[in-house]
Parts: sequence; C-alpha cells; structure tokens
Amino acid sequence: MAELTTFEQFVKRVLEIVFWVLIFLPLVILPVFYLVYVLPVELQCNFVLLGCSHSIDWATALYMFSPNQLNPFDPTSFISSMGLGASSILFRAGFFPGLTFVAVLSSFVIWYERKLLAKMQYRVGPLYAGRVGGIFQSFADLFKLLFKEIVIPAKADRLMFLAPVFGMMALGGALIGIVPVGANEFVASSPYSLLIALAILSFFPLVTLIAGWASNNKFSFIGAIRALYQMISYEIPLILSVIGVVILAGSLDFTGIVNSQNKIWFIAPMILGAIVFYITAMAEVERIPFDLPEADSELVAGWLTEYTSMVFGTINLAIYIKLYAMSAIFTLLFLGGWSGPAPVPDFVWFLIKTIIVMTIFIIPRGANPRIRIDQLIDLGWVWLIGLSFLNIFIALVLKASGLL
Amino acid sequence: MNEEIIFAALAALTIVAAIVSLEARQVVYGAISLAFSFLGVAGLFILLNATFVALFQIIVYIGAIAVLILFTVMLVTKDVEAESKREPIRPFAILIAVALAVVVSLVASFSNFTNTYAVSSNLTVANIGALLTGEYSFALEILALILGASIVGALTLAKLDKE
Repeated sequence: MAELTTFEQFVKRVLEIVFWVLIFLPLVILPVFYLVYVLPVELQCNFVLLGCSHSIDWATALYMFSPNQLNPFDPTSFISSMGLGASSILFRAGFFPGLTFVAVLSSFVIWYERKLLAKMQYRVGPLYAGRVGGIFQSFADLFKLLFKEIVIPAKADRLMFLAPVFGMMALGGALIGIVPVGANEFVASSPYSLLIALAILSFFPLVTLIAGWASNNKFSFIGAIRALYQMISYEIPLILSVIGVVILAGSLDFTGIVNSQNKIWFIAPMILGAIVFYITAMAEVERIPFDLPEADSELVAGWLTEYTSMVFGTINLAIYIKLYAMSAIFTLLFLGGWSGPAPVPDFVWFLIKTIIVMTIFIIPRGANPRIRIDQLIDLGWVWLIGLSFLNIFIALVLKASGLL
Repeated sequence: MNEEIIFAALAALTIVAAIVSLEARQVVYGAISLAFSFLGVAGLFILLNATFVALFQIIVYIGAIAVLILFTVMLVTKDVEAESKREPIRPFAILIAVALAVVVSLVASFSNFTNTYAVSSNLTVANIGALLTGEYSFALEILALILGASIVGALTLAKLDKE
C-alpha cells in the first residue's frame, strides 16, 4: 500500500474501499440471511414454503442450532437426523475412517518419516515449521504446493496427463473405503473385502503407466515401464501370500479374518506369509529398496517427473494413502487387527499397530540401497513365489490337523 | 426398474468402450478403453450377483491383460499412429453389416432365452470351492495341466532364444 500524501489519494482510497464492500457484502449477507431467516422456516415446514406461515418460531430455530443439537456423536440430535451424524455414511466416508482422517494421518506420517530417517542418518530433519521439531512441515509444504503454478508440458497428452490425478485419488479413496478401522468403524463392508482391496490395488500400475506415457518425457516413460516390470514380479506373490491367512480364517472378509485371530495372531503360524506380504507390499508402495519407478538418483523423479504443484501433491497424497492401506491390511491379516485389552477403544489399538507397521515399512529407506530390476524379478519369481507356496502348505497342514 | 437403468448404463459403457478400442486413432486410447470395456463386464457380473467372478474379472483382465496390452502398445507403436488413416466406408461392407444385424435380431427374437437370471445370493466362495473340487474337479485338473504345459512351453521357448 502506497502512503497517502494528497487529499485526492485519500478520497480515492475511501471510494475504493466502499466499492469493494459493496461487492462483497451480498456474498456475506445473503448466506447469513438464508441461514438465519429462511432455513429455519423451511426446516419447520419440511421444505415446503407455500402453505406454511412465515412467522419465525425463534425458539425452535435457536434450539436447532444450539451446540447440543449440533453434536454429531448424539444419535438423537438435530444434525444426526439430517444425515450428518457420526454414524452417517457421509461422515464415515468423509471424516473419521475416511478421507480427512487418513489425509491428516498421512501428513503426520510424512513428517514422522522425515524425522525418523534424519535421526537414523545423524541429521536434524524438519526443524523450523511449528514449535516441536518442525511438526507443521507437511502443512507448510501443502501451502507451498497450493500456490505453485500447474505446468502441463506442451507436447504432453493433456487429458491423459491429468487423468492419473483423479485416478490415483479415486483408487486411494476406494482403498480406505474398504479397509475397516474398528469392529464398527468402517465405511463399507463386504464378504469379499480382501479381494476387493486386491482388485483395487491391481488398478495402480495402469494409472502409473498412463501417467508415464502421457508426460512425453523419457524419464517418466522409463519410470512407468519399470513400475510395470515391478508389478509383474510382485503381484503374484502378493496374492499368494494372502491365501494362507484366508485358508486359516475361512473368510475373505477383513472382519471375519480379525475375529478368527482371537486365539493367536496369524503372524505366528504364517511368518513366511507375513515376510512375503511385507516385501511385496513394500514393492507395491514403491518404497526404497523397491523405488525403481521413482529412482530419484537415476530418473529425476521417475514417472512423477513432469508433475508440479498440487497435481504432484495429490498424487503424493494418494501414494501415502496406499502406504497407510498396505500397513492397515498387514495389521488386519497378521497382527489381529483391532483386538486388544478392553479400556482402550478398538480403533486406537488398530492405529497403534498400523503406525508400528508403517515404521517397519519406513526404516529400510534410511539404510538400504536400491535393488536392480533383474534382482527384483529373480526375487519375485524364484524366492517369493516359492516361499508363499510353502506358506500355503503350512496353512493346509495346520487346517487339516485341526491345530488352528 | 433401477436394475434395468444400471444394466443399460453398463451395457452402453461396455459396447462404446469396445468400439472406441477398435476405432481410436491413437492406439494407447484404444488400449485404455479396452480396460473400461472389461470394467463394464465386471459391473454386469456384479449385477448378476456374481461378485466373486466380477472381482477376478477386474484382477485378471484389468490388472494383468489390459496392462500388458497397454505395455506392448506403448513399446511398439511410437510412429505407427501418424501413418494410420481412416479407410473410406464401402457400400458392400454396409450391406454385410445390415444383413448380419437382421440375421442376429431374427435369431434373438425366435430363441427361447428371454432373460438372464441372477445367481442366487446364497452362493458363497465356499460353495464355489466345493463345486470346483467336487463336481468339476476333472475340469479343474485339465485346466491346471494346460496351464502347467503352457508355462513349461514358454520356459522352453525362452531358453531356446538364448542359445
């Protein structure tokens, strides 16, 4: 703002302020008027304005918007009766076991990962954003990404370049929709929920391939081709390693699998399956030592090279949602899911176990080099498939002998 | 009524995606729309209560086959796209297409099968497994033999190439 030196400038500034106030007042006043004056009447008359007296019952209106009636956890409150309560599908998909919860958890995990790796490598890590050890670094990065320009390369295929953003986010949302957090905290449940999760996971290489091709950049394309090679080598052991658990539990439902672990967690009899699942899940979320598609020391940023701004941020969020989902599936299959001593709520137990599993997913990044593509294919087809078949035989023997 | 609308939408998705996959100027678009066509078929399976089949349709056809086709297309056709041009429609081809449509609709209208019935909803994975290992065990063994033979054949071909 320039300093005011003359009277003309003062008048001009006043007129400017009046102008902007006149423009913005309707944008604020009309919604407030609607909320306070029109909406209570419409609600009282069940959204039929005609044939209803327009006198406002202020007592009822105030009652509706009192803090007590806005409590989403009370099933009898006004907001619950409008379908916005804690048990409604909108709340579950959007907030608690759904997207907001996982997004906040992901931003925490990004900070936690950077801090942990820094400690492992004698560095400091994020320090300045926020009071305690740079805890708001992820949010600072988010705002930085929000204000950056979205650059689409001139030779890129526009539609196919932007489609993976929506694809990744939709697949991430579908994954957290099918993974339960507690006995009653889930978005959707199905007798086939484990298979549905595997089916959603099989979409990701398609999206990666499209992104790498549409960028029209050799680094992106090589990254996408590597993602495909990686998928070919880990997808079969991933599905085979789960079969042992399914045989023991006799169910394809996450809830059924968790309930059948009340005697013993499946990590004890199915230790081979757990190891194979851990390795293949790490390849699935493209983490070091399996980050061949991203390989930042060889391929700039792999298949993400051309993505900028919030487009990059959204894809990265979906990748971290995938990390959360894989850790959650590991917890559900092998660590007894949400079972734990009573006074602590079940989803807290689930979160504690999931964050421990995430830590185990993160730790190799601090110490391990990247493996070669031929080593990866050798590992997948020779060792992991063999081990998972051995695991299936162990499960069959345990089931046939009636031990579990 | 609701199911019929969903069926019409899924059928339209499947057919339009199949046509696009044949007619798209860019071969990559064709491969992607082939994946959408598979997805529509999976939706039709869900509509028939066969969720298990639908999920394996997605895992196998989209997760493996569509991705492999897309992979091949991306590796092979980098400069073919520019050369491929649309052929003019020939009157003889139109005649054959109309005749085929008439024959197919006549056969469909004189046939007995009027409706497709949904699988009963109490058919679980356990029932499918019991059927596969009991009544249809011979077919399962034949399939396993064919798959094993094809894997051995592929390995032999790969070994031959190296020598």
